[in-house]
Amino acid sequence: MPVAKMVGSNRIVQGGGIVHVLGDPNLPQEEEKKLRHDILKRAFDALQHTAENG
Amino acid sequence: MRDVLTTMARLAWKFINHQAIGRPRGEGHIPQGILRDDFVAPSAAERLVAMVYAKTIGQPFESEFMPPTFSPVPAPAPVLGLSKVRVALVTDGGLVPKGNPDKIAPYAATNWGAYDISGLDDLHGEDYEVSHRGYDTRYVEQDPDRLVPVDVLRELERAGVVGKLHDCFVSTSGLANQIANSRRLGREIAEKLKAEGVAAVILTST
Repeated sequence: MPVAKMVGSNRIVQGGGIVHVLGDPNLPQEEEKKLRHDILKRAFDALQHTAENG
Repeated sequence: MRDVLTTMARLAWKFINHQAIGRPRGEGHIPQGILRDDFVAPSAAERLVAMVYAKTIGQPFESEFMPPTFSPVPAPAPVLGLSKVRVALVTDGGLVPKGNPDKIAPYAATNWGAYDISGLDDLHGEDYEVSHRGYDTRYVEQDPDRLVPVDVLRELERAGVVGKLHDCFVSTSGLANQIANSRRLGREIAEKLKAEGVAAVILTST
């Protein structure tokens, strides 16, 4: 997040952590997939809305 | 206005007479990021401790090292009609097929690769490896969907949330890289995907 902001990214979504951006190995497989789904949903929401300049 | 012009006139006078121009704070000009050697009495260790102390007790202090600044990036327009457009997955987390066919360096990478995922519903750890020295890669190597989420994107494609998942994902290793080089990689990737009709990108960054 801090790096993405520093370089001026316009649409930033917080993931599940640096070592597993779209997952969490501590979760059962189905729940992990749901987490991945939720993060991607937020990313697609951001893509479909107006963003501020970075 | 008058104060600014006075400052500018004084600086211009110094400049045309080849007089030394001091620090921005004293002279009143905009910092230009110029670093000059200078002798000072307190050692680096003493200055550093003084800065940390000031920071700890909430006092102002002046860093001797300025972080790089980046010019503003205009925000691209929102994606319209997501259910009809082509979406690509891009990552700087270094996921590559086993054997790293494009020899993408694990840091200061000078190239990127595009890897076919057409017909795949899920990425399997045994088919991929990670070329990146900046994070613990074992979780992605266990299940690459944790970095390049082909499994969920394929479901979203079938459900009609996105029009089409692009036939390849693009990968490079984003670590310890010069800004000019990173810009070139980004521009090349964007040009390629645009030429292939991609309208939206999910960039996963480690």
